[in-house]
Amino acid sequence: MSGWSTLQLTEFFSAITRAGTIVTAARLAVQRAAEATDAEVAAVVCGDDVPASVGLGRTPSESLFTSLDTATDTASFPGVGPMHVTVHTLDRDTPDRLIVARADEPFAAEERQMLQGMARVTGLALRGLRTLEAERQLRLEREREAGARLELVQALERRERLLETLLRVQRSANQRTPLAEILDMITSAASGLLDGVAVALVLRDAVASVSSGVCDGDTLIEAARQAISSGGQVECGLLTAAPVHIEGEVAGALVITAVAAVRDAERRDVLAAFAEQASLALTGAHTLAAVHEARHDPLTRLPNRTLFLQRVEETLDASPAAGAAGLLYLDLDLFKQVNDTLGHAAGDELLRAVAGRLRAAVRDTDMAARLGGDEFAVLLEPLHHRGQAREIAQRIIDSIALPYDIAGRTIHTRASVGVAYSGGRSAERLVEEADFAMYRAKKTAKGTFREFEPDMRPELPQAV
Amino acid sequence: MGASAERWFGVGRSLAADPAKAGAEACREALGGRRAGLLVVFASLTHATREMAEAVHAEAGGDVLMIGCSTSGEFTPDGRGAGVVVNALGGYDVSVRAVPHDSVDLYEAGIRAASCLDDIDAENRVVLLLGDGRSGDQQEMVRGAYTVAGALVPLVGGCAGDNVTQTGTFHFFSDGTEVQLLPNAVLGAALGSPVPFGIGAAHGWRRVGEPMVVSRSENGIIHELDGEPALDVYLRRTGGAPELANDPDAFLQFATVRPLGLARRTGEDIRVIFQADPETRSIFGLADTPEGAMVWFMEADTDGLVDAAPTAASAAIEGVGSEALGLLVFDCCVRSIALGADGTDLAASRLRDAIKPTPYGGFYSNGEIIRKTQAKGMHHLTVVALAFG
Repeated sequence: MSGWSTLQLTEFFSAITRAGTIVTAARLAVQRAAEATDAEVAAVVCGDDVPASVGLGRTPSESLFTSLDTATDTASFPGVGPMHVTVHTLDRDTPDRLIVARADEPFAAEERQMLQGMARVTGLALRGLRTLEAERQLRLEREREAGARLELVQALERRERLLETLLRVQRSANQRTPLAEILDMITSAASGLLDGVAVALVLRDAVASVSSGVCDGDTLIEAARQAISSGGQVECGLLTAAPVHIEGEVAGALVITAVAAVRDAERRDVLAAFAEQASLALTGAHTLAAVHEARHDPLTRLPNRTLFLQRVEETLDASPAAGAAGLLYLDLDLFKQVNDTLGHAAGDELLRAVAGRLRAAVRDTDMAARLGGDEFAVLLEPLHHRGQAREIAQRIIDSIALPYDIAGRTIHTRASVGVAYSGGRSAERLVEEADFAMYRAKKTAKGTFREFEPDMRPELPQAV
Repeated sequence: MGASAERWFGVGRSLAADPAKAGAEACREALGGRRAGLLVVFASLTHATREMAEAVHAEAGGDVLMIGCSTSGEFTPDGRGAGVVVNALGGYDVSVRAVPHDSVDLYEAGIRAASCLDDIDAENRVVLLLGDGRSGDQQEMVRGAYTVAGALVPLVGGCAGDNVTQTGTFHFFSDGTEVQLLPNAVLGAALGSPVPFGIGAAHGWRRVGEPMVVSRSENGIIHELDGEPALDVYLRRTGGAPELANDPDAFLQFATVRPLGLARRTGEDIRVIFQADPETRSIFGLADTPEGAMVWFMEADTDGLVDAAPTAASAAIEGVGSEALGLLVFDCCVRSIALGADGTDLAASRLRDAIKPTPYGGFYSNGEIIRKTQAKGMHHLTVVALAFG
């Protein structure tokens, strides 16, 4: 389920940037927020008005929503009964808020973070639209000075650029751009929007990313510390800092230097929006990395035994026909000698190189994994006939047998491969059979493959 | 229409070649000599004519509320086929609305269709929607309807079918005396009852393989997956032959049973792929698949598919809390393609056996509607059931 919330946020961004009026933007916000969290009720509250709500009919009493503030976590609605509630401010300077209510379970930290992101984007969109409406008003009145008009138009343009930039960063985050690049994108984009001032992201007492612009590292870190301990935006000399979170925990801060040409409210908005963007990117990366790490071998980056067995099980369930899938079990000959004579570092490098060749020798639909030590396995799926499995096994053997250049020396190794075919077997059993076949290959002719036959079973010593 | 003391549900079916004759026969069987408060008519595209709708309406006495739509095939406990199925209900509070095609946007159409709820004051209420899967994003219609119905009143229904010809759909409507045949419309019927209505949904698809990111898309057209042309990724990952890209019919058959699923808090939101452009290497979905979304390939598990209809129907009956009088079932037309003729027959017999002797009428739809807790509204490749108590 990891990552679903940041993806929903991207969809939200795309939808809300298309809204042309305050009512449409508010309506989109309540619909999408409710749908993303399977919530029954949602509303946007602006002052004493409720420009949009869903879930309580066409004209619910506005006081049902205006009475709820950020401290509310449960509320009872007429007919629906008690519900879990989460309330998020749209804007730092007003009490405007997005309210979402759900009957079945409380909102998780990830959901609240996503909704906060949605609320912030809604706030920016509403402000932009209000500016637009104000500008239209100005044109009608004609008596205001040209300078004031220009300022408003510029503010509006900046607001639009802000939304576009946030959307671009969000898309990159979802396209698995490396985290460091996303963080640089955030600091440079924020800097670009604030007339080129310095923007820095401080994580765990170190500057993780900084836009072009001059500023002193220690001063930045001090401002970040203050924001971290206060839990909100702080002014620290000429700097303003806002905390950044990873999975709801404060992990650092986004810091900007003072801007002469941009008004305070505007600067605070940009800072808050990008701090949230950084939080989401970091949380997403953190979750994805954790999931990846739990299921992959850190040395070769191949799937580990857990993930491999899970995939084999899924494949056997999905394609139960005999021979619809095959499994290769590989063991490296001479690996121990490399480890013993050249050291573990060379051994590790050899394993990485073997993993790379293995990856290149199998098809896109196959899955290569490291089961441990110098043992690897490959799930072959789909398999139309046994000839395919033999061909791939031979390709792997040939590829692994080519010389390796490691630590300035030429090293040779070979793989012995066992092959087993699906059909009425569990995943564990299939691996076991391929292992038996590999053992037979290793015993009779190293650097070849053998296919499992039932009589191979008893030959294996009991202790293995 | 006021509620009488006794509620009832009757269903009739006719496969007669003449649409009007089939309509009258099916209606007669459904009524069994009773006076109905609402007729719900499902007719194959071949039978979706004004004469059929008028014959059904006249058979019921000529002054009765009626909603209905064209289908990709209908079914009752007597089997499935291409003709007319009439569901007749008596004893419920009922009100109906029709919104003609293109008279307003789909969001507003949903609001107007569901506004029939304003006429019903009952302890338990439901809004039955018959949409049109061919005209735009029906989720917008459901969103509109939800603003009227809110959390307390479930929305249930299906989108009209056209025998999978992609030509166009028809709706049948009467708010009393006059009968209308409306192309691509949205219809709503609100029902009220002293006992709860039961609703259920099930699909039987599951995600397979690693997720992909929709790196470029617009308006239902997916241009890129994971930064590569979407068609290439799609054919490679599904094992489809490259020639499929140049054969629209073969691609439709292949792709409709290999949908994509969008990441959602509870499971996936299914997107049916139905067309490819070999020039631009793009693929086309029945509903919008937003840029930046993460998607999986979805795979059909035959048992799960076969059992989706009985699962949805049983859940609906359970929701009634007492003995169910009858059900309406909306079953995605693509599921029949995935199951094949034998599998579809098996699914039909499992449904009949699971809820015997409760009568039901249903059709193969172009999109299924269920909006309640944990369900967003518009669905695809799904079975939705509404049970009357």
